[in-house]
Amino acid sequence: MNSLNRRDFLFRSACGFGGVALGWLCKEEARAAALASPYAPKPAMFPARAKRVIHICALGGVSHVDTFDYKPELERRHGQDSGRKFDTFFSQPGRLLKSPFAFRQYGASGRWVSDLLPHLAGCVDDLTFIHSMHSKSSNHTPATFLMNSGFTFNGFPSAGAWVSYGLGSENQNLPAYVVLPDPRQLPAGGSINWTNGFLPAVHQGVAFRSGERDPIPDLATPSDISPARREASVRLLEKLNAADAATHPGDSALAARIRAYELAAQMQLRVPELVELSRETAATKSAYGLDHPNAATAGFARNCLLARRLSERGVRFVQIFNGGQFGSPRINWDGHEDIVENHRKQALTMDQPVAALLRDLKQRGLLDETVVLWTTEFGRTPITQGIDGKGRDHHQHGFTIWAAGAGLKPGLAFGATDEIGYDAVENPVEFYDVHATLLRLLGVEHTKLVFRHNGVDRRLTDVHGEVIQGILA
Amino acid sequence: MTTVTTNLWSLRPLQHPAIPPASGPPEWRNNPIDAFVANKLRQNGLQHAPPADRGTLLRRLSFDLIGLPPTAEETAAFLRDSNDDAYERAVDRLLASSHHGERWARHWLDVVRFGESQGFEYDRIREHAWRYRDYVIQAFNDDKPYDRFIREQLAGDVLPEANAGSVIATGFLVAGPWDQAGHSSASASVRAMVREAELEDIVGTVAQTFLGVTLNCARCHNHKFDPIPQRDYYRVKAVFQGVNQGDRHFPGGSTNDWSYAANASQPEATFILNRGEPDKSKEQVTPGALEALATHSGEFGLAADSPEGERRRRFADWVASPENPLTARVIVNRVWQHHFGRGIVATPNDFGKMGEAPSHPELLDWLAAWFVAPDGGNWSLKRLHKLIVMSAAYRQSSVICESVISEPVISKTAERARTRRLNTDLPITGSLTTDLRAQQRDADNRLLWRFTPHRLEAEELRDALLALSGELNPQMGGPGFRPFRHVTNGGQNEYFASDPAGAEFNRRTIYRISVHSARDPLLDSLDCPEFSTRTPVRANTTTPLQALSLMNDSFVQRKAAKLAERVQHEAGPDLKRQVKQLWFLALDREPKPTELRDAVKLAREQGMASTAWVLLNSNEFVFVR
Repeated sequence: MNSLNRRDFLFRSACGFGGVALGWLCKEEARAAALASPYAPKPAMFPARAKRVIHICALGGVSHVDTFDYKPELERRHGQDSGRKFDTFFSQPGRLLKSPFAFRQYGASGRWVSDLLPHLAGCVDDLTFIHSMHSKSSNHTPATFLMNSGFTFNGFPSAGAWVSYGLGSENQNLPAYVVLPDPRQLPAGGSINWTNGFLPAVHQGVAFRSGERDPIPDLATPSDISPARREASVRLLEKLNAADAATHPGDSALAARIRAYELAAQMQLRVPELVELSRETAATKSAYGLDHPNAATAGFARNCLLARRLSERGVRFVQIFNGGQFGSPRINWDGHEDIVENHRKQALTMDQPVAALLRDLKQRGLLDETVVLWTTEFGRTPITQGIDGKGRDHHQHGFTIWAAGAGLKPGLAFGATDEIGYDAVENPVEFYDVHATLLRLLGVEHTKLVFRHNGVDRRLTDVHGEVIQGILA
Repeated sequence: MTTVTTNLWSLRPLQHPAIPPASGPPEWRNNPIDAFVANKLRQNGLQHAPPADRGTLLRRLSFDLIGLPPTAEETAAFLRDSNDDAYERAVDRLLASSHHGERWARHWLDVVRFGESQGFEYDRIREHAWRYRDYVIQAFNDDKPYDRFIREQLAGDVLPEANAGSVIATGFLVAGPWDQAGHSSASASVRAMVREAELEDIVGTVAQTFLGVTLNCARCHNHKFDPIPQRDYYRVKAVFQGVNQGDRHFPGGSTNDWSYAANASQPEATFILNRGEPDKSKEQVTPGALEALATHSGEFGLAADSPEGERRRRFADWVASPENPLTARVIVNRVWQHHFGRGIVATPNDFGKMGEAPSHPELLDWLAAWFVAPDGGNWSLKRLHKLIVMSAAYRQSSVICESVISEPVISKTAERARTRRLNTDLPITGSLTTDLRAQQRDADNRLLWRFTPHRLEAEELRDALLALSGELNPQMGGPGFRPFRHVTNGGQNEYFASDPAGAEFNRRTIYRISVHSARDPLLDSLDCPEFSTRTPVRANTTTPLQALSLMNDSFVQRKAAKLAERVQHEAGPDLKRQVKQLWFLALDREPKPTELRDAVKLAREQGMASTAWVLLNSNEFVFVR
């Protein structure tokens, strides 16, 4: 039935035909169309450089001075007093500690990377480093909230929810915002990390359960219900809903709900197909590390491969977590006790899969339309935690993140910390700026992506944020 | 001190508008609400809808007042009852039901960001926070006067007549998240930052909940839109600065009885903080309230070092006063919102310039003045509920019919104005001109030319499934049920949602413990809000994940099977009678002949549980009309 006929039909059947309310009904139909899919794509504000985002969150605080921010001065002053005041989280400031890992320059760009991350070292010509990050908090959870939502408090919508709200998605048969938690454990706070906050529930991140055929709860028809039974039931449901809609003309919510069941049926087909990896070649799986002897690496590798498959299918925002809750035993980057032991263990889970993801995206031409963003909530102190300690404490004043892909200058090192990696001294950047830049790449002006909530036009960037022009291609 | 001047409508003293002359059919001539609504409709060339049919109306009223569908017996009795006061007796019965408090407490808990865990990194459970939830339920069931309800939540521990309930009531102040990791940091600056954020949460919640004022926006600078100087924020902060979180005893409780409530101590001096940053103190302030209310001074004359309890008592008195125009306007608007689906002010936590203007300003003020008047509502929420649900406006049909449009004339100017408005998508204010065809401009039904249908809320839907299955466990109060697996590791807590069966889990959803990181996929998909977010208006979304939950969730499957067993038991072996009973239970009506035929066929071929599943997934079941 075309829309005009349907309109006539609806209106005649209930109230008799009358042109009087037609204008109203037209508006209602426009609403119904908008509601047809809750993930319907929305136009960008400027021409978008990137269509999609893959955000890798390395939790616990990755030590910048042991990974990407090479500090020869630390080698020279190793074991000395820093001469700086450290207001550290555990208040046990120790002495300067040179990186126990060997740094080398890589690629045509000559970026420095330590031997913790040999695979990523091979990707540096595609990466855009920001060495001048600083954060508001040296406390994991507020800092993680800030990294993901722009606020240090519980309950603000995460970046993925904002992007879903602002842009919808290219694929109506999958959620717009998919989260792939570390296969070992959810992050502290669990789903609050991908909350929609005050945005409508449809923008909440949908966390895939690791390694299951049905990664989304309630995706599959229960096993005790035969296909014939479900089909006959759905047919009656459709009939009742259609008859009901006919006696309630103009209630767009009814049409939207009928459409939601159609989309749900699509999802039931598309999601299992998405997580079914048998069509991937052995070489691909091996490159990511799905066959890695370390289970945490293999599980994370599977998530990285899923991220590519999600992205490939047009899912707007994919978030991958590397690291679980804080506390011990440590299954994240929170190397208080022993930086070598901790960071070696974490790097092993992350390095190969992320590098493989970057190469895979590039090879398939997807990196030209995707932003891969790698962040950690803060860095680690260039001093030890405690005199003669082997670990490092949280450090919010200077740390490194990187991005790769569409619209960025590859191989760039932007900003810098001082000679010991304490303060971000050159082009300091906050997460507000990162979020503003991410939205810009997606064609959205961050000050205009707003949602009125309890009297405030809320933004991902709160009242802050500058696009980091220096990293844009 | 500067004096703030303003013409913001919400800060003016309550007006006492005259009730417009009644008009229309007899049922529209009994209630002042109808006079105001009809007057506005008339001004806009609109007419009200005919009354809803009785089955629909009882279903609407029952979900509204107690959050549960009517039982088959209640529906049958109501449909048989031809007395004039049948509806009024239904209203009285539902308002007297102990389920009433369970329904309306949920609305309140949404506003006050009630959580039963700390949130943040450790998200430890607050074992005794449920007492505040029970306090709210009981307050609504007992029809505790609203001014008393305010005083107890703000200062119940320091009132001269403090008792168990009033101490527990201060759980309101501390229902928000608490950053255990931050508080235990060795770093003083980390601790100070955490504490400032916590106080912002308390000050913001107090001001939004009772006053509809976004005072939290003035932490870093003068409010950008409303007449609230930064000083106001810090004066109110000084009132609550002594409040800390924790378990405490309450009067009359045994040594094992605890509640999670305010633990107050004398605070240090309060200073305005430059840009809200803890290490940037400016001038000192004294405890006080908003200074923008011309006829209700927020200056208490308290010294900077005045006793902690005195601060909150004075503030509570200032809020719970008939002279405070915000207090009454805000609460009558909240109550109105939950009956009609939308407030007279559609932004119930923001009566400022960024909020929406009232659709019926005279009605709002009339209701507010009536509510606080001793010979009117006298602060009784139940009286207010009854006044509203007895109105003809509330009892209208939700079906859209041509007859709602009384003036089909449209001028070119008006058409241009309409187009412009639609293009710019400006909010429609209360001052509509009569030559616009209102149905084109009032698609949101702000003027109430019909009843607005709405989808069942998460708790209503889950509770309705329990009620229909016959398994609802009516046990009230006490510690909440925990439908999740809880894993602790040192201080860390992980929660994995599960769907355990058993009577304990068949309690109403309000008794599900509100742990921040223990979300429920079914409830989430139905817009159950994030616990730490003040949620005066819930989102109302329709999504494929919601459809999947209702189709496949194990809870829904189980309840559909139980509902099928129930109708088989109640109606005997005849499939037709079973189907009729099913329709009556789930939809409060008889099936039509075609429905009966189709449903019997499905039941015969695929089992009655399939037919029950169909109804529970149907639009007619999921919407209140």
